[in-house]
Amino acid sequence: MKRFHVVLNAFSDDIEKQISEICGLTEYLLEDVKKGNTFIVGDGKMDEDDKHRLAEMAPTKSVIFVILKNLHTEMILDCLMETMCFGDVYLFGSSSFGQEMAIRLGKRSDGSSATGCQWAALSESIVYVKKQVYSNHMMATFCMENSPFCISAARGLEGAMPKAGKSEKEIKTIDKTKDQYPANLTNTIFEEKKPSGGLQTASFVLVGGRGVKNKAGADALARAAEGIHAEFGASRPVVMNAWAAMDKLIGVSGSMIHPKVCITAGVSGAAALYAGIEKSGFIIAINRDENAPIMRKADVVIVDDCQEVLRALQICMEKERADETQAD
Amino acid sequence: MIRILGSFKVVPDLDQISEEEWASDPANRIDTSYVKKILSCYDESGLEMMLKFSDESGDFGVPVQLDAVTIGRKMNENYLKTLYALGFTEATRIECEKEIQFWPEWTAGILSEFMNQTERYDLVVMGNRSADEENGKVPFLLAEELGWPCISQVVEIIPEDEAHVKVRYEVDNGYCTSVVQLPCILSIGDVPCSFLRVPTLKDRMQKGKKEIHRVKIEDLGISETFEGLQPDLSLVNLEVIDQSRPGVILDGMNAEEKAEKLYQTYLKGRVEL
Ligand SMILES: Cc1cc2nc3c(=O)[nH]c(=O)nc-3n(C[C@H](O)[C@H](O)[C@H](O)COP(=O)(O)OP(=O)(O)OC[C@H]3O[C@@H](n4cnc5c(N)ncnc54)[C@H](O)[C@@H]3O)c2cc1C
Repeated sequence: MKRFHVVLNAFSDDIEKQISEICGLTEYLLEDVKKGNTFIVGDGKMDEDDKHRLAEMAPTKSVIFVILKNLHTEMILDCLMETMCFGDVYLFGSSSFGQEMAIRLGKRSDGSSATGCQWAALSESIVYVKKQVYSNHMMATFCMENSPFCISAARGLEGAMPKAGKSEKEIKTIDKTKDQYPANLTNTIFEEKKPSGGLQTASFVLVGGRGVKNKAGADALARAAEGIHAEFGASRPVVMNAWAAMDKLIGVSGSMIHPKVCITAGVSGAAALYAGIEKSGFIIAINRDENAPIMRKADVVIVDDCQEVLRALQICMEKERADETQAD
Repeated sequence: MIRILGSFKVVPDLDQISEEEWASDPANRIDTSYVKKILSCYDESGLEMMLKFSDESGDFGVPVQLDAVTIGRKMNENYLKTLYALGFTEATRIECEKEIQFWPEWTAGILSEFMNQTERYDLVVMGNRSADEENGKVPFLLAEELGWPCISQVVEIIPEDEAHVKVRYEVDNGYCTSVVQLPCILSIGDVPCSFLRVPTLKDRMQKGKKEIHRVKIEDLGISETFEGLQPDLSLVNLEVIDQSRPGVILDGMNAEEKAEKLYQTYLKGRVEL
């Protein structure tokens, strides 16, 4: 019988997202997968209350806290290797931590690893995973060859969180703070990321693509976004040219958004970008080229210059606003 | 001297394939052989970052040698010639005419054998993933093969001294800057303004003609028929991801008319004024 273990990173403050991703991944794992351990790695700042709260959210009954001086993958790998059994399945979130851990653990234990997976399932003892390939154009199903199976989730996956358990959790703590740490990284300075201006939660987003042409064009579009009360996002060429900040990036490499309405302006509709907006309720594409791929991936399309249409839309919405205020 | 190896992959430009073509492949095996080839975008950033590092290294009194390696067909040599023209010292193509896909363990195994057989390297720079496979596995697998540390999502590499580099990299909730002891593998994330620079015609003529080293896979002790080797993942099925939506065209005499229609018909009530 297989056991599945979950590995969560409490150095990051998005544990709930990690759990939701893993639950999304395992929705189809058959019932007979015996639940194993949830490993939660964090530092000594976690008090008993924090631990209790985190343990409650864990998808398994057995919870093992691994306490580290700092987030050092070598120390975590050692710990996981010590408790590993043949046939085990290890599940990780979509972050770079999850991806690194899945790959390294798979390799180190002579098992196999799969990253960025949308789905994992077990059939007759074989582990199958699904993931997007060919720059998000195709969904591939793979069979994993060797045990243990180390799987990390795709970005943007969401699954139902486990219900707070009736049964008591079994909590263990492994303290690794006094161990010898490899000294290959020193003088580390951490800067917290600025919040990305609400793209994740916005209900209306305007995404600018290479069709903005330059920094001035991107700035004009960002102002138009403000004028129509939408959040501004950008495609990869726009941020790679530094016409907009990196935290505006939409797509598989940036934010995966789910607004009610998304307008794309000067975006061709490459699958890597589209994966980031596909959960939008309604998509409007403005592109000069009626044959651009986005024109068949949007609900409504306008064939025209994106700056002109947005300027006009801003004026139209400002006028409506003024009329409404007057009527009030 | 710090010796840096830049590893890159040449991939088909998948954005050039139309939706019909993705959907029409009967065997669900995509033939990308006819599609224009490009430098995988994260690898391109890595190569440009190596050049920037080398530009700055003089100020720190750290001599640097830049080398490059790629696994693939003869056409990849055009990129190696460009790298020579840009000042790279040694450029190697590991010859492989076959299209090997979904097998990052194989790529990492070959690169590790190549590194064991060549001179000492202090740093390997590579993109964090390629467009066609999207595994992000090669840098970590190579690190495991070599027993080296690997830092991923790197966005800046700054010279420090002959045994260390300073690296800025993205982590889950922010950015870290650390001094890293060599040897190490750096896998490159999204870095603004990291398009590979274009060599001058003079440099192409003078430096771009240097001989490219060619290595056969068998010479690395790996059988070309891949006997005894197996990928972690075996492909069972491929399906097209259907992203289509109705694409209703909004007509009008000019941008103003279209914008007005857009607001009145589709946005009013859907978005807040
Ligand atoms: C591994 C990998 C990950 C990637 N991740 C991402 C990602 O997360 N996000 C992302 O965006 N990309 C990503 N990409 C890149 C992606 O494949 C595309 O190259 C990119 O999305 C194209 O951006 P674009 O649509 O802005 O530019 P283009 O494809 O160049 O399209 C520009 C469009 O603008 C139109 N246009 C031009 N002028 C005007 C005008 N005046 N008015 C209206 N329309 C105009 C043109 O007709 C064209 O359709 C990734 C690629 C790889 C390989």
